[in-house]
This record gives sequence, C-alpha cells and structure tokens, in this order.
Amino acid sequence: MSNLIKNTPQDLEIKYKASTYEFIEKILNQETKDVPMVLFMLSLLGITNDKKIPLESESKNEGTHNFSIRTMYNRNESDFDAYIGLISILDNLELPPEQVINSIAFERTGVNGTTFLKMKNVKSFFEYMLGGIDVFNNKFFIYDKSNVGLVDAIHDYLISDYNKLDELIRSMVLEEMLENE
Amino acid sequence: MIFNEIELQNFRQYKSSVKIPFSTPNNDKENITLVIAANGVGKTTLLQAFRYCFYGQKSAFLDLPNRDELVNNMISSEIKELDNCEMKVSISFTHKNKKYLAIRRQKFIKRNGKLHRSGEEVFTLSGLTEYEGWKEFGSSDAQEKIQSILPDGLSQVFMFDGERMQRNFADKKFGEELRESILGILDIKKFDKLYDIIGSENRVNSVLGMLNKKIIAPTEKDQKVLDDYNRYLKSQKSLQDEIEKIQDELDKVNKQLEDTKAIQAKLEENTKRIADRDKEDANHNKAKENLEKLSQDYLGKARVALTSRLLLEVKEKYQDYISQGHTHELFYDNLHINTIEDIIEKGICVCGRPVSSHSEEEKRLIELKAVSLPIESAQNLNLIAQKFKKSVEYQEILLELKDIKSKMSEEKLNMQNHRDKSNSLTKEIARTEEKYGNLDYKRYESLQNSKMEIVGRLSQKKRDLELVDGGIEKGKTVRERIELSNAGNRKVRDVINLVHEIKNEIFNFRREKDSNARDILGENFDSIIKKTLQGNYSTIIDEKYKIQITNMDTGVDETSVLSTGQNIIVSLAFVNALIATAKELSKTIDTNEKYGVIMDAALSNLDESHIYRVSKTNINSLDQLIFMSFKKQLRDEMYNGIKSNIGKAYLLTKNKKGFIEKTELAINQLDTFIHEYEEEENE
Repeated sequence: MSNLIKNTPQDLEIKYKASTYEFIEKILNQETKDVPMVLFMLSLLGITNDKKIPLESESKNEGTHNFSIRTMYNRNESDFDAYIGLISILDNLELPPEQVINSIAFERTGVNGTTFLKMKNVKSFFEYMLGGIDVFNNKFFIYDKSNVGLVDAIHDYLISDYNKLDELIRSMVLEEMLENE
Repeated sequence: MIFNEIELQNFRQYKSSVKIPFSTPNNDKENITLVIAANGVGKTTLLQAFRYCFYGQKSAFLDLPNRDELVNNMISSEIKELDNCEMKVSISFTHKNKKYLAIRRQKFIKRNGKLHRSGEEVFTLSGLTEYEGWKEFGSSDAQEKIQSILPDGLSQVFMFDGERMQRNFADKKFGEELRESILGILDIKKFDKLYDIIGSENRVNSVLGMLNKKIIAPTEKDQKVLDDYNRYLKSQKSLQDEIEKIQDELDKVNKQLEDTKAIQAKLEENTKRIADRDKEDANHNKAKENLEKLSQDYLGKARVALTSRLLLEVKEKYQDYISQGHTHELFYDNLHINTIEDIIEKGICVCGRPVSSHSEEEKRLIELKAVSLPIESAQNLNLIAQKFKKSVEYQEILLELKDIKSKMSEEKLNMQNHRDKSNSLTKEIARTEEKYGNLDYKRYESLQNSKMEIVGRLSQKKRDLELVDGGIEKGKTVRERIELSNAGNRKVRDVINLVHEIKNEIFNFRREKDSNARDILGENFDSIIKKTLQGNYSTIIDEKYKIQITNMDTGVDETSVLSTGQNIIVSLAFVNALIATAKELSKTIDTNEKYGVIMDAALSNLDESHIYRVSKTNINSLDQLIFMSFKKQLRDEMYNGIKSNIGKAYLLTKNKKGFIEKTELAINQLDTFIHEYEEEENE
C-alpha cells in the first residue's frame, strides 16, 4: 500500500477587502473560533453567487491580512481538504466526475510539483472566499454594521425559502435512517 | 332702546348738520350699522355725542378732552360779532314700541371774537303719541325719563369705547368702573346717597349728627367720659380700618403663599418626573445591553448556521454531479486504487481465489483500477458527505436563533417603550420648567417671614381694638346713664337708634342686592367666557369686584398675564354678561326690550382667530350694534364674521377744512370697498 502524499501549504496575504474580512471574522468568531469554517462559509457564499475575485486583487484603504495557512492547515487538514475539495467540485461541474475527483478536487502539492496557492483547487477556494467577502458585505451589512443590524439581515436570509430546505432536510434524515438500518 | 338716527350740529369736528340714520334690527338680521373712519376722524366723538345728548356736558360719563369746548371751534371765524349759533345733538330712538326724540342744545354768542355760552344747556325729550303726535316732556321729567330708560351708570356698557376694552382686568380702575356699572344696573346709587345723608353722630351735617346735637350737654365730669367715649369711637373706627387693611395684606400674602406652594408642588412633581425618567433611561440601557448580548449570542451561532444553510443550498447540485459517477458501471465509492494494485501484485484476491497473469480476473482488475479512486480522494469524499450530513443540524440551530431573535424583538420593544416614556417625561419636565421657572425656596421663606410680620401687626391691632372696645363698653354705660337721666335725650336717642336701624337695613339691602348682582353677573360672565375663550378657564368676581380668571388645567391665576387678544375677548364677554345681567336685574331695563350698543372698538391688536370668535360670538349676539371701526381692522376675519348682519354702512372723512363728512356706502359694494388698499392707511 502506498503512503499518502502530504500537502505542503503556504501562508496567504490578501489585499482585497482585508479589513472587511477581519470585521466578518471578528463578528462570526465571537463565541468560538473557527477560521477555516469562516473561510469555507465565505467561499460557499462566493460560489453560490458566482463571485470569484483573483487572489492578487487589491482594494483601497482596506490594508492587508495575513492568513497563517501553514499552521491552520496542519491543524485542520481533513476539514481543509474537504472544504477545498467541495468548492473545487462545485467549480468544475462541467467536467466528468472521475477527472475532477481524481485529478483536480483533491490535488496535492506533491503530485504535480505545483505550489500550494497555484493549485487549481486551492486557488479557486480562496478566490471564491474573496468573492464571498463582497457578497457578505452586500447581503448582510444592509442596515448597519452593528451586531443588531447584522442579526436582522442574517436572520432575514436564514428564514427565507425555509420550506424548500425543510423538505430537503427531511429526505436527508430519512436517507440516513435507511442507511443505518 | 333701539337707536334710529343721530344728528350732530356744530359738535366738535361735526360742523353744520350731519345726520346718520341707523340700521334697526329686522328679524334679528341687519342689526349692525358700520361706521368706517380712520383714526382722528370722529369715531370717539360720535360715541361721546350719545352720552352728551342723554346726560349732558356735566355727566361723569362724558369722556372727551377739553369738555368745555364742545362747540366746533371754526364757527367763530364764520359768524359776525354778536351773532348767535347753536350746538346740538339729537337722537331719535324707539323704546317699548314708542318713538322718542332727545335733543340737547346749547346756544353761543360771538363776543370779542370768541364764542361764549348764551343761556343754559337745554334738554328736551318728546314722545310720539298715537293721537296727539309728538308730545314734549317737561324739562325735569325729560331727564328723569331718560334715566329710567337708560341710567347714566349703564352708558359705560351700552356705549363703550375700545380704550376700556384693552384695560387689564387685574387693574384696580377696572374694578371701580365695574362697580359703578353694577350700581347703575341695580339702580341703588340712591341708597348710597341716602346712606350718606343719614351719616353718623360724628358728622354734624348728617341726620345722625344733627340728631346727636339735640342731646343736651352733660356735666363736666360726664362730658369728659363722653369725650373719652367719642375718642374711643374714633380710635375704634381707625383701628377697624387698619385691621381691615392689614387683613387685606394678609390675604394677599396668603394668596401668594398658596400660589408659590402650588408652583413648588408642580416643580416637585418634576423631581419625581426626573427620577422616573432616570429609571426609564436605566431600563432603556438595560434593554439595550440585553439586546447587545442577545445579538452576540446570535452571531456566535450564525457561522455554523450560515455554513449549514449554504451547504444545503448546494447539496442537490453536488449530489446530482456525484451521482453521474455512480451511474458508471465500473464506479465504486470505496474501491481504492491501492487495494487493486495490492491484489494484482500478490496474485491472490481478498476472497482467496488466485489471480493469474493475463487471466480474465487480472484483466477485470486492471479495468477497475482505471476508475477506482486514490484512497485520499475516497476519504475526502467521505468527509464531504459527513459535512453534508451535519448540515441537517440547520433545523435545530435555526430554532435556537429564532428564539434569540424573538427575545431581541422583545428587548427592542422594551427599549422603544422606555425611550418613549423618557422622552415624554423630558417634554413634561421642560414644559413645567418653562411655565413655573426654577424652584425658589427663598421666595417662600420671604413670604412666610412677611406673613409672620403681618400676623404680628394684626394681633397687636386686635389687642388694641379689644382695649378700645372695652373703653367704649365702659363709656357706653356712663353715656346711657347720662342720657337716661334726661327724658328729652332719651327720645332723641330713640330716634337715633331708629335711624341706625334704618341705616343698617339700607346697608343690608344694598349689600344683598350687590351680592346677588355679583353672583348673577359672575354666572353670566363665567358661562360666556367658557364659550368664547380658548382653553379651560374659570372666573370669579370677588367682593371688591376684582375679577380673577383661572386656567383650570394648571390651576394658575392668569388674570394679570392675559394676552391682549385674550383681554379683548374677556372684555367683550364681560360686556355681553353685563347686558344680560342688566336685563335680568335692573328695574329700568326691560328683559324683553331690545337694546342698542354703540361700540368704538379698538380691536387692532387681536389676532385673526380671536377676531373671528369675537365677531361670531359676541358682536352678532347684540340686539343692535353701531360699530365704529377702521378699514384695516375690518378686513378678512372681522368683516367675514359680521358682514351678513350689516344693514347700513357709512364712511366718515375729513374735508379740506377739517370738518367731518358722511358718505353712505352701498352694502353690495362694501366688500370691495373694505378690501381696497389705500396708501394713506396707517392705522
């Protein structure tokens, strides 16, 4: 049995909406801290709204933010792989699943000699994450930037189209029950 | 008494003969005669001409400057030396369905270039009889008849000028004038005169004084006792007056103390309001704090909720895509490439069967190898599947979030309620502060000190009075003994006592009438004020005819701080109340008879809404009104309020020589005339 190939992650510095990101991270990590989940949530927001911003993009008066991806990745490797993989799959729905799953979604630095941030899956994940910042800003800072204003906007979104989601959740729960039997 | 016409001849600015016929009430319509004139063009003179005609030059109610010079001063230059001329005012009126003509005239003669009176002022009154035509009353009967129709005391009511109307009700002069009017209404001035004629033992020219003189002088010793007695009597009167004055002072200070107390109570209510507001603010801040905590709680859970929600949104798309792979014949979720390689390398399957080179089994395994997954991809897909499975927690989290959100809404409502209450209290506090100023404990203290001082003085005077009363009582016994010793004196004393009884009865009768009149006037006044003055006001007329107007919403006496507009409303209400009272009480005024009113009304200070109220409520309710005004005042609200009742209208102007001329105005063009702008208008 061959040994698993390990990823060699790189830290990331963003110049696009850095302070907005920091603000979002601060308010969503008030109770417990989970930066990878914040990144994943933003990336999901980006991809569901088809908003992708190149990593080298810059915005005025927002400074920079450094992600210690090396530390973060090593501590949450499996979560990161799943997050990056899922975004990558959703980003390549036009390609055959075998190709996406075997060669793109879970690509690692050791396989093709490509550096971490240049790999298609990692790059897409963070590009959608930057897009997600914009979406978050436009969607949830509509009243004001206070906690209460933000709650109002997020709540409006969370309770929208609930019936459809409820149906989906019921079928998922049923499916799991059948699997367990 | 309805006025039909006035004629003025050589009276002040009216030269030759100026006749002004009046509109008489016609089914309660057309009861107004409008006399329009600029300031200084004879309005006041016209009003005073009525008083002159009825009551003469010497009347206390004739209110014109230089009343000795009533005749037109230009006549002397127009007539020759020793020629005569006549000044005359005549008024025709109807009373109790009978026509009357009152004329007052005075002849003049020119001597040494000046006009001098020639003979007495003559007053004649004629009544139109059914069979004998005009019949003149005798000269003394004429004046008596006029007094019986309209006593001169009432001339202030029925012929009043605007100056009076602008006088503040807290003004002492107003109270005096009011008292005069009431006495006129009650026709009890004669009782005052009788009371005065009876006088007292100290006044030698009075009835009692003269009777007292009839008492035969006592011995020297007795005389001393009597002198002391009389001195005590004088002191008693003076002490009683002083005590009355001090009592007045005390009443005033007590009233001020009460007012100050009321103000303090209002301001102390503010202290409570401030504490309540602080409580509301604290509750508001508490609710705000709770709201903030709840929002933090919500946001703490929002990360997972948002992620789950987004995962659920992409679930179907992801599942459909992955299912494409599942439909492939050779695709197995957990078939790892490493396992296949292991079997081929070992040449034996996991089930124990051999796998030879180039065998069918090996060929199948090589085919499977092409579509099997690297082990880490399978692990990752598994992890992704786990994430999706976990996303069903969304339902549960959302319930928690809904609960937090509902609590937040409650806190928001609390915040709003506390903020509203706080704002409303702030407004009330500001209103009270603006109205009552700041709490001044020093003023209360200083009033208390004044009260103590006054009470001290009052007690001292009362003690003095007790001593004097004792002296009088002692002297009285001596006096009675002296008087009893003399039969003549006894008889005189009996008469004196009888006269005293009569005097007391007159006094009581007058006081009762007076009090009754004040009650009725007070009721009428209060009722009219409630209808006409905006706000919730109540009125009191006290024993000294002082009017007090209290704002019932605040309990504050606002008599001396009424606005000019309010004062005029109150004045007009008062005139209406006086007329109503006059009709109710006066023996000479007939309840069913209509009475004309002549009004020189300076209403220029009234604002529009008050003018409207005045004209609608007060002016139109009069039986007949001769209303003197100027153009600017009549515009808009004033004119609109009375125009439907105007029967006749005149314009008074001054000609080049300074004499007044009258022009009758067409009623159908009055509106246009009044609203024409004239540059010289500067009223």
